[in-house]
Amino acid sequence: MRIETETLEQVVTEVLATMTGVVASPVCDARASTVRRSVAACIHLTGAYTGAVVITMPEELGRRIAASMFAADPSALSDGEVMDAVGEIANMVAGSVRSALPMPNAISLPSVSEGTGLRMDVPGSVAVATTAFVVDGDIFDVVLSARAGEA
Amino acid sequence: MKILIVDDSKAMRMIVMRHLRQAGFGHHALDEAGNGVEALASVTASRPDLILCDWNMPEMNGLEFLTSLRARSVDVPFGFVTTESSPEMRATATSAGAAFLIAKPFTVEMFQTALAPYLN
Repeated sequence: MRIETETLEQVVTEVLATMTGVVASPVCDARASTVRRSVAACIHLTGAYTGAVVITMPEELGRRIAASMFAADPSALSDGEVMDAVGEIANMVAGSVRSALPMPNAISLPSVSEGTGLRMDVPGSVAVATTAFVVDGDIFDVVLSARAGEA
Repeated sequence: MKILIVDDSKAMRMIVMRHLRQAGFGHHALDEAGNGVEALASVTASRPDLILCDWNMPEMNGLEFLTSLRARSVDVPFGFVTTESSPEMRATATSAGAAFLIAKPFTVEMFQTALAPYLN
């Protein structure tokens, strides 16, 4: 099952614009830098399609997105609130993407990590669509993977 | 009227409350719960007039919560606010007794359309 990168881009930009007012512009051949402190959120899909959606972004960008969701000052938010917000963005992206994938499939609750040098991988799966975006100079990326053999 | 918002994401509960205010329903009393177990306790304690509930949550998910309500003969209007928006999920929600389903990501207009019959 193939999903077009354009579909993933459209889903991500729509989720961010609709739910946070954040405008994300797709960029080519880029990945989120994990040199700085980052946040990564993962949603697993299981069923007729088995894979995952992983979003990785600089913590500062995650904090700004969370601030839009909480209608709060970024510095006033806890790390847990930032992780909650990024996890919910991943949840909505996965929920929207799955309609373009073989059904039935179920989505998991979000798993979210935060740290420096962070890169979240799903063992046994391969990336089938990778896209990156820029928001006010910060780059984040979204990877849709499938279990090896399904890609 | 009293509206109970059930979602394991605090960020999403904040967004739902903001959409309710923007949809013109901000004068209603708003209450929150983080999963179905907490929501069941809240229903018992405060008798909401409308419930807006996520589907995928830890402890007790939205469908289990709705089923528990109906098993206890609690017929409060119940709507899902969820990423689960496939035709199959919508049919499951309706069969369980949900009045409507608002798919994430959502707009203010979607809240106005779905909630107006119960709040106006």
